[in-house]
Amino acid sequence: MNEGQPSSGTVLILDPDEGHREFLTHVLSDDGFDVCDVPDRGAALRVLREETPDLVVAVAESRGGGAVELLATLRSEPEIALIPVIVITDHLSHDLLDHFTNAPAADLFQKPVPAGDLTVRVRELLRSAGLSAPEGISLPHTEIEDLRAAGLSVLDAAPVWILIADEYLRMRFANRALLELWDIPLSRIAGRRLDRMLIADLDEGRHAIKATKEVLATGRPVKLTALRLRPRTGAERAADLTITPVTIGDRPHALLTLSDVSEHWFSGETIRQEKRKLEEIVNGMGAALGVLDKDLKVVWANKTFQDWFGEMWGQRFDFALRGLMLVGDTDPERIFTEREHTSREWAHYTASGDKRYYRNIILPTHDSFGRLKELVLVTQDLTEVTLRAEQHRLLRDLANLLQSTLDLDRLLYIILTCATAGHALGFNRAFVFLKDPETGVLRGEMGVGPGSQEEAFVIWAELAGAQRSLSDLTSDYQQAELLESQPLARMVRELSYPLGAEDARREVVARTALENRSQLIRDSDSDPRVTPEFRENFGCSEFVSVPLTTKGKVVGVLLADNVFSSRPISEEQVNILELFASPAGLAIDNALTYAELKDSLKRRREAEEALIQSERLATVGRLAAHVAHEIRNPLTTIGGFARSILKKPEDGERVQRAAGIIAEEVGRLEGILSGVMDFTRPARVQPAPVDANELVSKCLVMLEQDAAESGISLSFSAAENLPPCMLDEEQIHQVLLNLIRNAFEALREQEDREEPPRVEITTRAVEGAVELDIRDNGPGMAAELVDKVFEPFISCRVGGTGLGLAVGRKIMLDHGGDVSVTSEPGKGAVFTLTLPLAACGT
Amino acid sequence: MKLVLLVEDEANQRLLYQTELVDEGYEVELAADGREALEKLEARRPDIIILDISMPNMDGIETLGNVLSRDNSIPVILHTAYSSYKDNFMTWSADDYVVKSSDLTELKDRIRLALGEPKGE
Repeated sequence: MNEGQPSSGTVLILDPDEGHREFLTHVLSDDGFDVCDVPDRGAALRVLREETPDLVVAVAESRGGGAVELLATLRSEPEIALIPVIVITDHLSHDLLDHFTNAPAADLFQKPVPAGDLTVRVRELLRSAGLSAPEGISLPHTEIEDLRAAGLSVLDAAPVWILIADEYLRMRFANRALLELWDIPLSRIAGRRLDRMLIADLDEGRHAIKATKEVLATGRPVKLTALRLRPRTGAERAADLTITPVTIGDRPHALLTLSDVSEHWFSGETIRQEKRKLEEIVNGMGAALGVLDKDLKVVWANKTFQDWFGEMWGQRFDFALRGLMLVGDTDPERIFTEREHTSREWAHYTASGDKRYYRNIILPTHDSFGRLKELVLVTQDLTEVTLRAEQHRLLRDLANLLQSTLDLDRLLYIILTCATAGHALGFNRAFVFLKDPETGVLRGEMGVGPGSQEEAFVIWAELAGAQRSLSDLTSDYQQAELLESQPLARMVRELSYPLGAEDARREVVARTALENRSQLIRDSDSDPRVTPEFRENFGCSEFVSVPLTTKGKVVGVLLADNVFSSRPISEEQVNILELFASPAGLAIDNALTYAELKDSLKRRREAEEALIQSERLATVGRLAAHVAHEIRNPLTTIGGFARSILKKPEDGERVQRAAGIIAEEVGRLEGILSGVMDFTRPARVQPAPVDANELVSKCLVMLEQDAAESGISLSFSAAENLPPCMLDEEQIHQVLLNLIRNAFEALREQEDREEPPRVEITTRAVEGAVELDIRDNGPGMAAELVDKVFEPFISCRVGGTGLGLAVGRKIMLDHGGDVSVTSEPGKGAVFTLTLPLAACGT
Repeated sequence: MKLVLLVEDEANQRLLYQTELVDEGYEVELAADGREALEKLEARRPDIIILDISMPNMDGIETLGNVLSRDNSIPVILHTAYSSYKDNFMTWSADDYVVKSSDLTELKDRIRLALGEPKGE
């Protein structure tokens, strides 16, 4: 150590080899450093902890022993962790270098150590650690010093990040730009291994180190693009890395030049990401997207487009899908002239009979001069949406239709049409079996569907052309009769299945009814629920059988298949069918109940008619008896007097008297006959608006004389503002006259009376009619007579035909009116006519 | 001269039977209904009563009952247009039942039979 010179720093030398230790001590002491030397690690640590030297030069035992452990201990103690350590080994190898990765040495030297190199490095390290180099020491002119002197300022000023690594991948230099980027002093990296952690992406880091090794080994430059760097602060950067081999002091080195491409790269990355996103959207949007050129050729298409319409690049879109696309009915040229987009919906049946719905939207794109460039074709598949809407409409329509009829056959036709027609359920065929409540047998009732594959295609083609509603379809009910004659309908009508408990295993239809559960048969050939006979009858391998129920009671079974299209039956279709089976079952039950009711009603009506018939016969009998009686008396008289004349024809006076009586009796006979005829002749009512009060007045004029002669007081109290009645005036006039005359008769026959005889007539308006009372204070009638008074041939008068009141009542009923009577013996009688109003019609 | 009480509601018939029976040599008393017949019966006892059934006020059957309750020795012939009254057992208490006819021979025969007179003509 040179006295009087300020210390350049304290260096601890750890070297187990005493001779070598002395050599090192000598070299460093000569160069003006305070040196302390120890032979082993324990002593070294003691010195380190007590004296804190500025630098350690540790000579590793073979394979790095001692020095590695020392470094590890050193770096783990914060007080001394930052002391730089130079390691000298017998042999430098990458293996050995890897030992120092976690606790890096400031530098590594291989024996024999060039004395100059060591002192330069020690001085460098101490200077970067803040200690000034010993004054007055002239720097040896090594190659590295030359490089530093010549290029340091240039490299620092360069607008690129520069790093130099030696053949052991130790970083020897980093320019200012790079140090700033990393925000780290050169001392922290000098001598450390080229650290992949400086590069953000692990794979990229490994890649860069590998490339550097390659450059060092081969001497050929390598370029890596778009590495992402991770600065201590600030955003991630991207850089292109050029690794160039350089020779510094006879040793191969690698010059790593990183040029900042962040701006370019990140904007490019953003575009790439956006593009990826867009592609995902375009492919995953669930719509077909195509670009057509002016000739309508497909110049681009997304995946969906190709999935739906096949590979069509370069083909004319409208030609390829003629008849399916809107361009079929839109002039392609017009699309090009129209600036607005067009939108059209269309549907087509696939070869398997599935109906698909699409919406096409065509957007013309224009160049900057406003000329049309291309057409963007967006095709959306509306099948699911349309299907849902149709299913809802179907169920709603069905509910309405089911309420529209109680006719069983029509109802079944509606149910089957609903299951087959249209798109919502769209089964190829459907059949109904109904349970006979009396025999408990499930019997085939009706089947709907095409008879053959050819027929099926014709029907589908028709359906594709015209959108018809369910009610349109079911209004073709006449077709139901045609159906009757079809083989399908005949076949199903011949089928019947008993519903005993043991029958559930036998046939799928019976099982459906007995278990009250839908049965979906995927493959009838292998399904034990299907018998060979059943397969033969229906010829379908997949079908569904759904119970028709109401209030938990099975009324029948609905069976449906896709025998022609072979389209698989979806769970959803089964669900809808089940949903639809419930109102259908209810409607069928109602129709059956109604038919039953109608039947019993018919039987009852027949019984009634028989009764009426016998009643009529009784009336005819009574009529005959009555006529016989009525005729017998006058006949007896006539015959008697005729004989009397024959006996004494010479007695002129006697003959005269007898002839007078005969004439009189004949007149009576005629009266009887006309009464009988009035009753039996159907009266034709010719109604016209009539004022009831006026009608009464006219009658009274005719009766005044008669009343006066008999001493009967006849009065009329007329209600004011009566509404006009609808009457055949002549007939009602007769009825009224008859009733009043009857009253007169009754009064005349009465022998002992307490008050003077009178007849009072009153009119009054009631709801929907005018009522007219004829009240007398005559002898009245017994209750049993009151009950029978309007029956024909009942008379309480001497010489009455017994028909007057019966005829009167018939007239009133023919008018839509009525006549009634209230009476008690000794209290007179009131006959009341009910006259219908003109407003109510006849 | 035997007295016949003829009960008949119809005036022309009354006249017919009256004429014929007077011709036969009977004295004839007339009544228009049962009530009148009973009055006449009270006034003078007839030898025979010819009784119509279907009459107002009091019909023949009711009248018959009243006649029999007063004097069951007078023969009564029911004389009616209806043969159906034969089913009414009340009529069985009458001495005879004659259905009306323009030929009065049967009636006259029955009257003679009831009065115990020899068959005439």
